[in-house]
Amino acid sequence: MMKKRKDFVIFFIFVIINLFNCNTTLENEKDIQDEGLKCCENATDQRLIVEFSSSIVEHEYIIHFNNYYKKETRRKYIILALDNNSEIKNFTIVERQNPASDYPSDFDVIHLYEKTPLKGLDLLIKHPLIKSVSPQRIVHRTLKFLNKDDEQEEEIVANNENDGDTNKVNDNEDDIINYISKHLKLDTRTANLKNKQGECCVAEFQNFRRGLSSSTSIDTSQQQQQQLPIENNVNSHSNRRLLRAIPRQITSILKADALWSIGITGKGVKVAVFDTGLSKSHPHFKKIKERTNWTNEKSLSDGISHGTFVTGIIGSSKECLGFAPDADIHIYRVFTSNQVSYTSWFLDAFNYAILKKINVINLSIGGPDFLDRPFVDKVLELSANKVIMVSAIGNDGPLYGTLNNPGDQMDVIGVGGMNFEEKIAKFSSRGMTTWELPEGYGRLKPDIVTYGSQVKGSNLKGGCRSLSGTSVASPVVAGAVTLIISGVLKKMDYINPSSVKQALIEGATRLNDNNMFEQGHGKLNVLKSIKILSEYQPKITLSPTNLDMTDDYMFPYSSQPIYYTMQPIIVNVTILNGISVTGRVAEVQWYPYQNENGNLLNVSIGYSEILWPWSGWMSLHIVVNEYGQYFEGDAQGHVAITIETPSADDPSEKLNSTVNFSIRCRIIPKPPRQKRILWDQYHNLRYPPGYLPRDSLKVKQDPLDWRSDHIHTNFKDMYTHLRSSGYYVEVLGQPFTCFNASHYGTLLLVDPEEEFFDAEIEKLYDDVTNKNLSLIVFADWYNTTVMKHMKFYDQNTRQWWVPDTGGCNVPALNELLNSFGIEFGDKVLEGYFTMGDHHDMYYASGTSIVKFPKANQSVLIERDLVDQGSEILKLPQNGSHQKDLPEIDLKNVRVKHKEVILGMQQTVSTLSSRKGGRIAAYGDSNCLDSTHMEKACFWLLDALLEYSMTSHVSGLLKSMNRMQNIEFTEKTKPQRLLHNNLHLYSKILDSNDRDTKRPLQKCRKFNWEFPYFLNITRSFINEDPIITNNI
Amino acid sequence: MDVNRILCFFRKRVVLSLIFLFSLAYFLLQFNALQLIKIQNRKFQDDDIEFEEISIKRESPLIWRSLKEYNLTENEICRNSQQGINLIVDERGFICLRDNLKATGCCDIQAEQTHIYFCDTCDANCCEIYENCVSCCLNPDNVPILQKAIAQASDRQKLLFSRVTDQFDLCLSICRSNSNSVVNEHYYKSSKRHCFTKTESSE
Repeated sequence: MMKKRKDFVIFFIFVIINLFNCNTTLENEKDIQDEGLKCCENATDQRLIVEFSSSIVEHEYIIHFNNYYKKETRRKYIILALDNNSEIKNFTIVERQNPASDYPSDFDVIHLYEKTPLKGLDLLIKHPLIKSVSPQRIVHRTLKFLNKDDEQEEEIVANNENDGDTNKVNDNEDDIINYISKHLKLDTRTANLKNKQGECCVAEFQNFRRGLSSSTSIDTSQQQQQQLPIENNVNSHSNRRLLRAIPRQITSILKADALWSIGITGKGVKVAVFDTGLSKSHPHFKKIKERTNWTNEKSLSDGISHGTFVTGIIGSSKECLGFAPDADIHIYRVFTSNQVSYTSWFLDAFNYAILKKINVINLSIGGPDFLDRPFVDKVLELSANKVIMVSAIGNDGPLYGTLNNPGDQMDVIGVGGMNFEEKIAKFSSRGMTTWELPEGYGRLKPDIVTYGSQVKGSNLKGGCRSLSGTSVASPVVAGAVTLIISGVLKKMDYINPSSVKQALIEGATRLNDNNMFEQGHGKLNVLKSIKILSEYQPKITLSPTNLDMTDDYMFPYSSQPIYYTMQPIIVNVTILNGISVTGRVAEVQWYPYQNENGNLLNVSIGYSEILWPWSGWMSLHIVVNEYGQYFEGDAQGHVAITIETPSADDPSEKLNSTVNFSIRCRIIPKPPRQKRILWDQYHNLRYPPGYLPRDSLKVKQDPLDWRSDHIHTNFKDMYTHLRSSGYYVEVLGQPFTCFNASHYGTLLLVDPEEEFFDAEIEKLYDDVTNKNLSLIVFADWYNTTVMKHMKFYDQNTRQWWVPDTGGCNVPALNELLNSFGIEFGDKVLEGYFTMGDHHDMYYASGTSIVKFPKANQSVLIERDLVDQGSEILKLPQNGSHQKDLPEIDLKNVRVKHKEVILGMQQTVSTLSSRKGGRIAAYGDSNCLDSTHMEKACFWLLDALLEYSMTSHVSGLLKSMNRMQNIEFTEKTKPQRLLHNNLHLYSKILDSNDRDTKRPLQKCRKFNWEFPYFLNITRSFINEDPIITNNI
Repeated sequence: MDVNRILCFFRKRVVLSLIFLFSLAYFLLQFNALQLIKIQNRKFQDDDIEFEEISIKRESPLIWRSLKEYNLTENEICRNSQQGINLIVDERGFICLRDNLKATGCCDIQAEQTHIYFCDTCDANCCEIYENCVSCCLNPDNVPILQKAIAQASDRQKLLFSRVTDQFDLCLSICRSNSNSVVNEHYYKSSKRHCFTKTESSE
């Protein structure tokens, strides 16, 4: 009900659901396919090893014509071309005995013996209708069938051979594919000639080819023509790729079929699907090893098709194909047909999976609650037991900061979704993780992305359908991982959650248009990843691998350069330990590059003492030191981190591995304070851990405020706007007592849920009045009656939930602003209005200003608004269902009242008669927050910043000023809700006593790492050498 | 005349609409009835199959710790708990630091901090530390407690217990936090959440 994970909101498919009737679209294929698969089933005890070599055939040449001609026509042309010369008589046209020879073709093979070499060839080439002449090649290939016993020994060898060859042809993806597809091609024909079992497997493959072809518009006769040249000339692959361009199966898009053809089919790997179950006799699956039910429903079958679809992507062997048709599939039913699930069901099911020694688990589930300790601990426990967890990252995009648990855990492979246009899908949740806020900064997630939009998979009772969502992308990766592992079973000792993640990350192809919080390390590349894993040696790697502020991929780091006196930028690096389940950080060192201005950077390094399970973290705080005060350009260096792990051979022995993290920062001179904005992060709270209600009460589906209100999450659009307006925005993750006001023009305080320390209140007053700091506040609603009305029974945690604050904490905010004579009221207001001629505004559940100093230069603006609070109270009290959350009936005639929504004020110094900073206060934050935003008001923020930074009031705001006409009557200001639980997770209130504050939190002191200067001009960590800063 | 009258009668809107409504109602009833029958049939069949499938019968007898001899020699090979941050339990019931784990998978029994059947942090068969629980649970004296726990297990737990082969497997599984360890789904009931005995269910 609540959007907690506990609901494990199944990522349903909200994007688009298309039902495909496969019976019609696949009709032609089906029979052949079935046959092929059946045959191959028989052949599973043997494996096909293919070797091939090619050499030029003397005196034979392929004549390529400009167009398609009939056999007789072609012959005439050749004779015509050669007959002019009496020297050349010794040629014959090689007859082709295949069905295609009845159709026009664009080539011939001739046998030509010349006394004067190349003369005849020359004549042929000069002929206007002949495009090219090339030597004929003969291809030798041998097929070996290995019996099962031999197989194990040969398996890795075969892989290595592959790898060796692919190395030769280059690491380029196309080459790998070509290489593998070469094998495929060759299989087809030799097998046809020689071996019946071979023929079967080929039938399967050809069938796919046919599938591919039929989806293009090329008719069959032409197709044959096009394929023929390939048969005789292994060098030309370009034609084939065209046909491949519109594949019909996700498995062929990701080249899984290439692995099947060399016998890698998922065999020997146990993959578990934690979902809504699967019916017993589903026609698509060959090896359902076990089905178990962990819900309170007495059924093992899937009632809503989610589980069937997900299982299909992993292991279907018919119609819409899955990645690992021969894997052992274990079905864990943990969701009822009503999509209900509890943490406790998962705990028991997970325990069973550990006992069963499952290799890969797919979790197409998730929710925002990363503080569900029992669940999170259990996922860590699974990882520690070498279970590879693959999970969907969430369908809450395109907003940032919307990652779902468990996909956001560092030990889990979090999968995002992309579409077939090679762009990140809109629905796919974006990074960063929000666990670390406000003091730290989020991790890089998702780890990897793959197709998750309009993917075809198994339907409830057979047949296929198309679905979208990260629920779909997750099993694509889980299936691919299963398939990959089955190809490297010999290396099973090296397979663990981190080594697999390393192989996926290193193999991934980066997308051009998306940044790291959208695409992670890029798009899944099955072939590259299997290659990496087959050569894998246990190692430590980092994610992200480096920091480069000049690379757009590194948004948001690339969006703003750093400067002296700036709040530190923080990089949260995940350490992937492929060597052992535990490890320890033995040493960290900072190596600035002497010749690359590395001396201008100060770096502070924090890290998790223990790396467990298979992973850990390192945090870097980076600032520009005073030597960089006036510098403009790039500064470089690297951090070296040494990890101590038990050695694999003898756990009592220690092994040290060092890995480098290269840093490249863009530095600019310190901007003037009128350009610098400080964003208060410290006073923003979000779900979990408490019930913090949404800011717009009209929105029903999403009752919680869970996106952490950071400039890189739900306020990213606002941040981007401010950056393009030329402002520099910094984030304050500490109390107000921890910043120097003289550096900043404006403190931006938006939607704070937290309380304020007394010392903060005093300091801010002094900063504004005496240090010329300006303050802009965007408040939100707070009404205790409405809050009580919003309580509901949460079935997942089996307890009542009452909000702990309103949209923001107005009582605390009033205390902060009290000394400025500003107060917000307790009404919940809503309404549409315009400001000026063309600024449409929507006030989504905001508060109003009930007290404001009326000085000469003050500006007060009022608008007609509806009392949304009293409307909500008229509705029946919530039941236990989210559906029952307040709904506002817009059809009724609504009474509007004039309410003050905006106030602007110039303060006066308490020490002298000089002017102090300025304050602007607005009653609603929804127009800055991309969550459920209806109408943005960045223009208003611009106008307020113009005022706060330069004291200039824009003409528009001046024209709306009603200060003279407004009389504030004494109104009751909102009191804190009695018995609220804010103190349980507040950083400011005493957790044992909601009425007392803790002692003021100390400001963080950084211990800057000792710099070990290196005399380096190029970064040796990146693959691309970094060009020195003469750009 | 009569024919005309009859025709006229049938052309009246009221009559036509009545006919239509009747047909529609008939169709809907028929269709629904069919659907219902289908759904019921399906449910019935499915459930039938499912019940058969969940077999929680043990296939071979559980091997209790007391029945297996360990010779404590250098060359002995052990399964162990593999997951711990610092601590490891081997199948013989020895708990040791990871540093004292030998390449064979066994704890180094000579090491100072290695203990057998170690019940530190445990109270009433529930422990704070998972490895303590497993080590303690492996004590042959605990067999009656374990037998009782198996007998009283919930349906979901029964499936788990029916698939363990020996006492080590059983202790590894039973000591993990499970549906009985949580309250309100999101919280642990107690810091001693690793138990090898039956605890009160939260449901």
